[in-house]
Amino acid sequence: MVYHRDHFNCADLKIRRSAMKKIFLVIISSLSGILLILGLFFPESILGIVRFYILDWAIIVGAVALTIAIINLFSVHWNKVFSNEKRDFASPFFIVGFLTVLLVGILLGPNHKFFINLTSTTIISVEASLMAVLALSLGLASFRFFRKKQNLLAIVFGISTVFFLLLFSGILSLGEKFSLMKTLNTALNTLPIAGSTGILIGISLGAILTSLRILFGFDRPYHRK
Amino acid sequence: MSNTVLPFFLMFILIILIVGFIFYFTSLRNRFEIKKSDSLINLRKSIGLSIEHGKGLHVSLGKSDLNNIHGAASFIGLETLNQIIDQSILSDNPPVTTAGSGDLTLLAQSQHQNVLNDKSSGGSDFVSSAYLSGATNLSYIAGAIPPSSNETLSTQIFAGNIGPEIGLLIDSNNKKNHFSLAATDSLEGQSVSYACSEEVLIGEEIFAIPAQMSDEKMFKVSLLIQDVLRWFIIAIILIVLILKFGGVL
Repeated sequence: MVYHRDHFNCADLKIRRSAMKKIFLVIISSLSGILLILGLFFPESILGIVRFYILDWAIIVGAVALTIAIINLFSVHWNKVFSNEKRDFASPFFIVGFLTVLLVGILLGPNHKFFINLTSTTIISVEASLMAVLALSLGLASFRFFRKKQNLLAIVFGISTVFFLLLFSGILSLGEKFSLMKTLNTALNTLPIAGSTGILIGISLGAILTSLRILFGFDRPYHRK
Repeated sequence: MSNTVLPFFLMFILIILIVGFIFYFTSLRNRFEIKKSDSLINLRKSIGLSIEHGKGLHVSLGKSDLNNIHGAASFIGLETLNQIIDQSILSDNPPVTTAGSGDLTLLAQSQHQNVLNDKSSGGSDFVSSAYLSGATNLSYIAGAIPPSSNETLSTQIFAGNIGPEIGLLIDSNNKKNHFSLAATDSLEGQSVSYACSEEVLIGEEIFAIPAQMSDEKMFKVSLLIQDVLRWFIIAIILIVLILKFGGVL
């Protein structure tokens, strides 16, 4: 009986502590969000200075978060190398590469020519090979596209891709001495801009609403509901 | 932001808040039905099947930090992860989460940690199922390909800010015949996703994921405000167009 009561009290305490933590986080995040918005609208007042301080802190927190995430990434690969269950052939390469870059960076400094050459050569060669694979994948995807999708939108997508590839190659600019061709060329060139602007307006609206939801504390991505 | 734009932006925020309060505190929102996206219906089915068959899920949250313009898409990715974790809480395999930025990784790990607390079970490998796969665009993709090609997976969700390099992830996914949903706020990423993936969300549809995956009032209201604002902007564009043709502007 005593055990059950103690157990209940302990669970009750845990729930209360968790609720307090949530309330504290909501107050801090909402207050910071409101201060940021006010600082944006009143940049000349003290709120503008507070806004800059909060943004500076956010950048510092972001940098610390990245460091923690990189240490976590290292530990994930370390566990993959030294555990029997989830062995991954890429993990030893990651660990060796990571330690090499880290040691060279610490010993020579980040501005040393050898360090810059080492990192940029590695990054550029790896990224270039990935881009080559991506180009091949996209080429194959475009061949498979009509087999997978057979609707009106897919046809419009396919035709417009070929059409604008030809248009941007400058094939219509050959006839620009005729005013009609010039007008047509200008009108056709604005079509992709109009389309992408439409999509971007929609995305911006969504982004503004998501940001406001988080700034005012209505949506809290740091804990579960 | 320039000082001339600020009053308009303030007005915009006030409109959002007023419309939001109207929708939130009145029954007006019940008159509007949110159209269910086929892709998201298929995603929910696929998550259900994954849990039933004991298969894994992979959620890729994109590469954007939270403190820039693409941060909103990253937040949507986190909310999607939250919903997926809620649905897969009974699954033997926790969803594997990869991200391309430090703060996003920590928030994803905190979501996983919360589930661990809810389940009240020990074990540290559960927390490490959310990790940073790479700090640059392509290193993030290179790091996300191995978990996405895992044989034990059956469902993958790419939600966040991912550029055209998403094609590599979708391609590795297609080879394994996994279900995949691509939702990114990048225009290039969307066009590549449309060409490569079966299920794709175009434009602002990414911001409809939370409303479609949960029954929370807040998300529905947010989506309704988005629709109202869209019509508001369309009306402004049309009025400006008419005035321009009429020679007033």
